[in-house]
Amino acid sequence: MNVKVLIVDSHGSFAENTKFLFSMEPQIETVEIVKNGGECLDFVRQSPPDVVLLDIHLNDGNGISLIEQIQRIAPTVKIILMTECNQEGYVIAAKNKGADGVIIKDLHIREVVQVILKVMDGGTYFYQSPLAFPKNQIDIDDIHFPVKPVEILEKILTPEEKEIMRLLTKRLSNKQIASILGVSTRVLSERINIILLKFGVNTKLEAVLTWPFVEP
Amino acid sequence: MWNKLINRQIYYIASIFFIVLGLVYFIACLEHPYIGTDLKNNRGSWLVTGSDPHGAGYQSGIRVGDQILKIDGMDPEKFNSSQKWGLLERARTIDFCKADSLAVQQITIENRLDWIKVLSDAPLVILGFVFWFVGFITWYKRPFLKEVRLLFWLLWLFALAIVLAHPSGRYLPLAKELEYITFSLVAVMLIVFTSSFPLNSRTTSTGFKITAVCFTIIIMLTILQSLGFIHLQDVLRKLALSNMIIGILFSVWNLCKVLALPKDRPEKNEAAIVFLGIIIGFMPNILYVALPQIFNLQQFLTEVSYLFLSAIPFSLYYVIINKYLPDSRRVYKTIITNFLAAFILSIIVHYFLYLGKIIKIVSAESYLATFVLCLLFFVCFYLLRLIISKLLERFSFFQTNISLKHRVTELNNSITSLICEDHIFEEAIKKLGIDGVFIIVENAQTGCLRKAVGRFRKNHQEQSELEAYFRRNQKQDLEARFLSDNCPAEIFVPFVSDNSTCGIFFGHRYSHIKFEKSELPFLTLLAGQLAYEVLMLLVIGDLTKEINNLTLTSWCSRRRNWELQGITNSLIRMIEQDRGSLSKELLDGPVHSALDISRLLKILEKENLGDDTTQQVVSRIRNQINDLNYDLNQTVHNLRPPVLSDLGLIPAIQSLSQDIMLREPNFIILETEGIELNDRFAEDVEIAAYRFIQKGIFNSLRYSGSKKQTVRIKLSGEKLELTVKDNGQGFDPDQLEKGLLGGAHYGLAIMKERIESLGGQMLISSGFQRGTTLKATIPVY
Repeated sequence: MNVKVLIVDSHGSFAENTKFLFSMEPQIETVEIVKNGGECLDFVRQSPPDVVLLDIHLNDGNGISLIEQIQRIAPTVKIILMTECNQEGYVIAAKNKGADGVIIKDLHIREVVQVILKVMDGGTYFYQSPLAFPKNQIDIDDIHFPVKPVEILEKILTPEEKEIMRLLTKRLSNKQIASILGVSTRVLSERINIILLKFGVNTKLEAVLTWPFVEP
Repeated sequence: MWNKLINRQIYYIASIFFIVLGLVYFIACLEHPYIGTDLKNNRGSWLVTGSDPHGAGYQSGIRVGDQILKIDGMDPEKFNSSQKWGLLERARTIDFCKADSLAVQQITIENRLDWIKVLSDAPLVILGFVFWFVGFITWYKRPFLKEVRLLFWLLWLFALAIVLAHPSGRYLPLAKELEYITFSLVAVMLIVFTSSFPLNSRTTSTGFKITAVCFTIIIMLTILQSLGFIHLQDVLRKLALSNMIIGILFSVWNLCKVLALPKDRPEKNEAAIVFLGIIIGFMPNILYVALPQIFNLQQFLTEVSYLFLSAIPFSLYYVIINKYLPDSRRVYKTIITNFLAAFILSIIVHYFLYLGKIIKIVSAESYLATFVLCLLFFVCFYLLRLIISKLLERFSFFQTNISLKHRVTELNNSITSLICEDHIFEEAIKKLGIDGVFIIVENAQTGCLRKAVGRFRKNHQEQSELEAYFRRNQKQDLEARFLSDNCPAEIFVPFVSDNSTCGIFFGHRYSHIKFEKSELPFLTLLAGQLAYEVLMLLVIGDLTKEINNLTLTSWCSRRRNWELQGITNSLIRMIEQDRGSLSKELLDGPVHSALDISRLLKILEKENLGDDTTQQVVSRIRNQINDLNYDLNQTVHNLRPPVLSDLGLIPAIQSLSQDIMLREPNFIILETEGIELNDRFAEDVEIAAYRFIQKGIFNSLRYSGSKKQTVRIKLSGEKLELTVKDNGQGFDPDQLEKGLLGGAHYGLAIMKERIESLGGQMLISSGFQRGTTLKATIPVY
C-alpha cells in the first residue's frame, strides 16, 4: 500500500525534485504538488491524501497557520512541516498546532520516507533542536558554576575542542576563531555546539565559566 | 464715640465755636467804645499809666499821669474793670484832673458807630479768621496727618487770641481771661508743633517745660485776678508776653536744629521755609509790640505789625500741603534782596518826606514806619504782579507764546502715537503753523536719510541748499540757531544721538511772525523728539526686516525639518522593506537551491558511487554547500529573521537571544509579562520592537562590558513596554545627549526616531558605573 503524499511547496524546482526523489521510493506516491495554501486546502477538500508535506514558507502565508485549517477539513490527514533552518521555535509552534512532524528540508530522502512511514504508523518526528532556550531563570550573578574536573575534560574533549575552548576563553569572536583554525564559521559553530553538549550546558558563557584552565 | 468725635466732629465744633465767638465779640466791640486807658492805684489815687493814642480816652484829652476821680459817678475803686484789671473801659462819664492842674474835667465817652470804626476793627478780626481758615483748610485737605491736626489747633488758638485782642482791650466779659489763656497756650502749642514737625525730636524739651509752667502760672493768676484776689495785671501781661517770646525763641531754636541737618534732607528745606514764615510773622510784632510793652516803651505800628502775622499760617500751610517745595535758599535770596531794597528805598523816601516837610522830625519811629510801609509796598507790588500775570495767563492775552508751549507739549504727547514718520512731520508743521520741516539723519549703518515736508518736499534746490548748510555746520556746537533771512528755513537744530548726526530745519511761520529766542528751547526739545522718533523708526524698520527674514528662515527650516523627518521615516521604512524582501528572495531562491543541492549530494554520498576521488570531491562539495547554506541562513536571519513574521515577537526574540548566547560569552534573561508566546502585533510594531531589542543587546555587548542583559517585554493595556537593561559601565547622560546629535550613537537616535514615528517613546537612562537601561513604549493598536 502506497502512502499518498501531497507536497505543498511554493518553491517550484525544489518541489519537483522532491517528487522526483519520491518517485524512486516505492512506498511513496506523490499525488500532487500544490504551490500555495489555497490550492492545498482545495485539494485536501476534494481528495484527502494520507500525508501533507507542508513547507513553512508559502506564497500566501505560512504553513503553521495552515495546519489547523487542513485538520479541520480532514482530521485524519497527517501533516509534516518542512523548514529551511534548524530552529526550536518552529518545532514548538508546529507541535502546538498539532503537526505530526517537523523536518529540515535538506534531510536525506530515505530519512524523509522513514519519517512519513513513522507518522503513518501513528508516531511523530520532531528534529532535535541542539539547544533549547533556558526555561528556568538563571541568575548568573548568584549561581556558582562548578569548574569541571580536569581529568574528565581530558577524557571527553578532543585536542581540537580544547584548542577552541582555549580561544573562547580569550574572548575571541567566532569569526576570529574560525579564521585562526582555518575552518568555516558553520563548522566552528557545529563544533562549539558539540562542546556545549559535552559540557551539558546551553550557552557559551556557561562553558567558558566552567573551563578550568585560565591563561594569563 | 469719643474717638469719632475726636476724629472729625471736634474740628467742626471748634470751628463753629470760633466763628460764633469771633462774630459775637466783633459785634459787641462795635457796641462799646475803646477808651484805651490804663490805671494804677497809687495810694488811693488812680493815676493814668498808659493812654492808647487810638483810644477815646486819649482823644478826649486823658494823658499819662492824669488822675481819675470818678468813673460813671463812682469811685474808681468800685469800678469793675479798673478794680480788677486796672482798665478804664466800658465807662460813660469820666471825671479826671490833669497832673499839673487841679481843675476837674468831665468827659463823656460816646459810642459813634461809623465806618471808620468798623474798618479799624475789622482787620484784626479778619486776620483771626484767616488764621482759623487756613488751619481748617489744611485739616480739611489732609485730615489724617498728625502735624496737620497740631497745626489746626495751633492756628485755632492763634485765631482766638487775635480775635480776642479787641474785646479784651474793651473789657468785654471773659475776653481778658480767655485772651490770656489762649495767648499763653499758643506758646506751648508752637513749641509742640515745631518740635514734632518737621523733625521728630522730643516734645518734652526744656522750652516745652518752661512754657507749660508759665501757662499754668498764667492760668492761676488770671483766675485769681479775675476773681479780684490779686492785682497784678502788669505782671500778668508781661509774663504772658515773655511766655510768648520764650515759645517763639524755642520754636526758632528747634527749627535751627533742623536747619543744621545735611543738605539732602527734605526736612531742612521745610524747616527753612517754616523758619522764614515765623521770623517774618513774629519779628515786627516782637519789635513793635511785645518788647515795648515789656519795657514800658511807647508802642507804635501795632496794627501793621499784626498784618505780618499772616505770614505764619500761610507758610505752615504751604509746607504741609505741598509735597514739592521751592528751594528755600532761593526764597531767602529773594526776600533778603527785597528787604534790602525796601531798606534803601525807605531811607530815600524818608529823606524826601523830610525834605518835603511832611515829616517834621527825624526819629526812629518815623523811619521805621516808612520802612514798614516800603516793605508793604514791595509785598503788594509782588502780589499784584503775580495776580495780574496769572489773570493774563488765564485769559490768554499772550496767546502766541503760551500756545506754542502748549502746542509743543501736545505734539510731544501725540508724537509717540503717530507711527508713520510722515504723519509726525505733517502733524508738526500743522501744530506749529510753519511752512515746512526738513530733516537729515546721517548714520554709519543706514547711510544718509532725508525727509522733507511742506514747502521743502518738492523743492530740491532748497533741500540741497539746506543740506549744504548742514554739512558746513556739522562740526560746530550743537545749539539751535536762527538762519539768515534769505535762507529757506528759519531755524536749524543740530542733534547727535548714539551714532547718528541729525539736523532739523524748521521753516517760516505762515503768519510771517518771526520765532522768538525764548521759543528756541521748545523747538530744540521738539527737534530732539522728532529726530529720536525718526531714528527709532529706522531701527524698528531694520528690526522688522530682520524679524521677517528670521521668520521666513525659521519657517523654511521648520519645513525642512518636517521634510527630513518624513524622509527619515520613509528611509527607515524602505530599508526595512528592502531587508524583508531581500530576506524573502534569498530564502525562496538561493537557500532552497542550496538545500536542494545539499540533499541530492547526501544521496550521492550515501550511494558510494565511483572511486575515492569522486567520493572526496562529493564530500567537499557537500561541505561547501553546507557552509553556503549556513551563511545564507545567517544572512537571511540578519536581514530579517523569518521567525519574526512566521511566529511573532517572542519566538523571534528567543531565537535571537539563543543565537547571541551561542556566539557571544554572555547571558540574556528574557522576562515577559502579560504577553503570550503566540501573541501577534502589526508588522511594523513587531519589527520595530525586534530591532529595538536587538539594538539594545548589541549596544550592551559592544560598549557596556556587562555579561548579562535583561530583556523585558511587557504588554500593558494597549502599550508594549520594552526594556533592555545591563549592569555594565554605563555612560554620562550628558554625553549621550551630545552623542545623539553627534556620530557615536546614531543607532540609538535612529531607533528613537523610529519608535516615535510609531507614536511611541524611547528613554535612555544611564549613569557612570550604573549600567544602562533602554526603555521603549510602543502603542500596539
